[in-house]
Amino acid sequence: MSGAPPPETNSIESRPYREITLASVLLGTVVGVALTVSFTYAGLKLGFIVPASMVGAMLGLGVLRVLMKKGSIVENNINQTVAAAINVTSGGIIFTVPVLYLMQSEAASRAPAVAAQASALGLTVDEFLKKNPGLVQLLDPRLLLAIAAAAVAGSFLGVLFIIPSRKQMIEFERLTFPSGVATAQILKAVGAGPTRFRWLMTGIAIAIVFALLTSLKTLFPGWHAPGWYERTSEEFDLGGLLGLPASVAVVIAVAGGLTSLGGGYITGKAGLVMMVGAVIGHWMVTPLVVARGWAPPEVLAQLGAKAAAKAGSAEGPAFVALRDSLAAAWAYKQVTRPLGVGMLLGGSVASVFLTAPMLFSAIRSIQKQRQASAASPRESRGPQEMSPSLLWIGIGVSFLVLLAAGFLAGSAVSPLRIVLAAVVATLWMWLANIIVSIATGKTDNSPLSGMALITIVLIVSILGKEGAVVALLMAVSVCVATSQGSDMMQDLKTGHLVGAIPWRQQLTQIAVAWVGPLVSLVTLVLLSKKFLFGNDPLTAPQGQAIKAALEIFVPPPGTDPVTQQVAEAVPWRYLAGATSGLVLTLGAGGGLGVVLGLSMYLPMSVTLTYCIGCAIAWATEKKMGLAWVEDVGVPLAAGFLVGEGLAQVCVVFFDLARSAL
Amino acid sequence: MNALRSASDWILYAGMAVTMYGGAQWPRPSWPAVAAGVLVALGGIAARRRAGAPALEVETLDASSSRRPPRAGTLRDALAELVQGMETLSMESQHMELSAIKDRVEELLWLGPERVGASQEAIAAKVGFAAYAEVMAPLAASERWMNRAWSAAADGHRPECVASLTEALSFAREAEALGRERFASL
Repeated sequence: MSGAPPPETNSIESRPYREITLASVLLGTVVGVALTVSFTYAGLKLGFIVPASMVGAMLGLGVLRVLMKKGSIVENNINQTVAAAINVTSGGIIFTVPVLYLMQSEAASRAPAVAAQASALGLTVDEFLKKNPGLVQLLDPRLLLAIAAAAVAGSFLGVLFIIPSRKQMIEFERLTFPSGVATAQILKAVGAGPTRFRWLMTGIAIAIVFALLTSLKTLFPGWHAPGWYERTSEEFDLGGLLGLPASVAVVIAVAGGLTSLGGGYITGKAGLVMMVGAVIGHWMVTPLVVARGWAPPEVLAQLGAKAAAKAGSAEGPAFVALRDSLAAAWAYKQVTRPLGVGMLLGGSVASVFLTAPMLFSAIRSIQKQRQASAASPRESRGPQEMSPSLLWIGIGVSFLVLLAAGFLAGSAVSPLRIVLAAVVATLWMWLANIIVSIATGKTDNSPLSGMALITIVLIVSILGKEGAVVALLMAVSVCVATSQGSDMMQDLKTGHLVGAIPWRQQLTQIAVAWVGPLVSLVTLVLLSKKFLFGNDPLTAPQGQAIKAALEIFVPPPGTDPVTQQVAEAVPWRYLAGATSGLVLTLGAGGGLGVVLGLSMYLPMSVTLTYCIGCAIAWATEKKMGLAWVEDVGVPLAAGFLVGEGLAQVCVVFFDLARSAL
Repeated sequence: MNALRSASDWILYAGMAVTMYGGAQWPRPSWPAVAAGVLVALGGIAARRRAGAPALEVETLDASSSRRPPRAGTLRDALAELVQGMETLSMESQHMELSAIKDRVEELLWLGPERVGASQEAIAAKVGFAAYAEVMAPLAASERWMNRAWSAAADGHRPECVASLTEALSFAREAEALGRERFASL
C-alpha cells in the first residue's frame, strides 16, 4: 500500500472541507421556518410536533449533495442543526402560550357585554365567540412583548446551559440519543455502503406508508372510518383482547408506533429497564388506585355516573369496564403521573450529584484543550468547544431579558418577588434541561409538559395566585429552553457521530435560537385571529392540559372543594416519587430514577412499544449477530423514525393546503 | 456474583414498588409504607455493593457474531492496539483507497473508544468516575476525529481525512498514556 503512488487530487480535494457555509445555514433556516409555521398550526391541532433534524437532513441530502453537488456530511449536519434549532421551539410555544388565550376566551364567555352582543345577533355566546375569535383573543401588546422576550431568553438559556454537558453526556456517559443516531444514519447514508442505504430507505418507505394509513382521518376529515379502524388507528388494546381488567393498560402504540419501536431498537437491551417503571406505574399503582378507591368519593361517584350514562345501565360488565377505564385515566393523571414526575425530579438531582466529577472533568478537559490550542495555534486545529466566558456572558444577558419579561407581565406582583421568581425559574431551567436531556438521551422521550407543570407550581408558590400570568410566562421560557437544550444534545450526538467540530454547531444553534420562538409566536397570533383556540380545528390539547393543571393550583373563582383537595394531594405525590427516585439513583446510579420515573409518566402505549423495540434489538443481536444489527437493524429502525417524521410533515402540509383552499 | 447482582436489582425494584404503594394512597401518602419501601431499596443497594462491580465489556461480549476483529486483553492492551492501528493507518492514509480507510476506521472505533465506553459502569466502579473521565476525554476526542476522517473519506476529501487521522492519533496517544496509569488495576 505504502509504495503505491498518491491518487490524483480531484476538484473536491482542492477546496477546503465544507462545514459552516452560507448554503447550509440558508437551507436550514428556510426549512426551519417552514416547519415552524406548519407545526405551530399542527401542534395546536394534534398536540405534537416533529423535530426537524431528520427532515432537514433528508432535504439537505437532496439539495446540498444531489442538486448543488458539493455538500459534505458535516455541512449537511450544520443544515439540520439550524433547521431543528428553529423548529424545535414551536413545541415550547404551543404547549404554553395558548393557555393565555384559553383563559381569555373563557373569561369572555362569562362577560355580560359578550352575552349582550351575542343575543343582539341572535347567536349563543359560544357561536358568537367562534365567529369572532379576533374580538376575544386579544393579548395586551405589553404581555405579548413579555412572552416574546421570555421565549427568546429561554431559547438562548436552553442552549447555553446544556453546552457544558456535551462532554459529560455524549462522550463520558455515552447516552444513546436515538433520534441523533437516526439523523447521523441519514447524513452518513451516502458513504455507508449499499446494504445500509437500502435498509434505511426501506425503513423510511415502510414508515411513510404506515403513518399515512394511520392518518387517514386527518387527511380526509369527512371519511366515515369503519369501526375496526376507529378502534386501532391510534393504539391497539391488547389487554382488552386478552380480557384483562380495564385498569391494567396493555396497549401498543399504532399512530407514532414505528417511532417508538425504532427508538427502542436503537437504544437496545439497556432500554428494557423502562418496563420496570411501566409495570409498577401502569400495572400496579393505577389498578391499585382503582381497586382500592384511592380517590375522593365525589370523583368516584361522578365517574360512575358518567359510565352509567354511557353504558345505559349502572351494572353489568360493560358498565364496570367503562367505570374502571375512566377511573384508571383519573388515577394515571392524578396519581401515577405525579409520582413519575417526582421520581424524575429526585432521580435527576441524584444524577447531577453523582455525575458531578464527570462534569468537572469535562470542564477541565475543555479548559485544557483551549489552553493547548492557544499555546500552539499552528499545531492545533483550534478550540473545539465554545469559550466558557462567552457562555457566562450569554447566560447573564438572557437572565436579564427574562427578568425584564417578568417585570413587563407582572405589574400586580412586587418587584422583589419577580426577581426571586426569575432566579428560581432560571435555576430550575438548568435542572429541567438536564432532566429532559437525560430522558431523551436514554429513551428519546421528553417529559416537556411535566416540566411546564412544575414551573407553574414553583412560581405560583413564590408569587401566590396573583402571579399566575408570570408563572405561565416562566413556563413558556422553561418549555422553550428544555426543547432547545435537548435538541442541542441530539444534534451534538449526531455531530459526534459524523465528526463535526462542536463549537461550530453550538455557534450556529445560538445564532438562530431567537428565530423559532418569534416565528412560532407570530404564527400563533395570526391563527388567533381566525380560530378560537380550544375548539375544532385548533383544539390546543397540550394547552388545555396545562390550563387544567394551572387551575388546580390557581383555582378560578367558584372552584369546588374536591378540586382543591386534589390540588393539595398532588405535591405529596411529587414528594413520595422524589424520595424513591433519589434513593434509587444514589444507590444504583445510571440515572435509574430518571428512566423509571419517565416510564411512569409516559402513557403505557409509548413505553410498551418502545420496550418491544428494545427486546427485538436484543433478540436480533443474539440470533443474527452484531453485524446484522449494524447493517440491517439499526438503519431500518432509523428509517422508521425518519419516515414517520416525513409522513407527518406531508400530512400537515396537506392539511394546510386544504385549509388555505 | 452475577446472581447476587441480579437479585439486588429485583430487591431495588421491589423497594420502589412498596414506595409507590405508599405514595399512591389517598388523600395523603402512607409515609410508613414509603419509608418501608426506601428501606427495602437500601437493602437492594447494600446487596448490589456486595456483589461488586459489573464485568468489563470484554468479559461479556460475544465478538464472534460481529465481522469486527475480536477484542482481547486488558483495556490498556486495547488502547495500545488502538494507537498502533492509528499509527499504521495515519502513515498509509495518503495512498489507501478511501473506502478502505472507512473500513479501518470502523474497526479501530470498535477496538478502542466503543470498548472503553461500553465498560464505563465497570470502570467507574473499579477506579472511579474521575479516572474514567480523564482517559475518556482524549479517547472520545480521538473518536470524534476518526468519525470526521470517515466522513471526509465518504465525501472524497482526502486532505481532510488525513488531517483528521493525525488529530485522532494525537488524542489516542494521550488516552493511551493516561490509560496506562489510571487503568493499571483493570
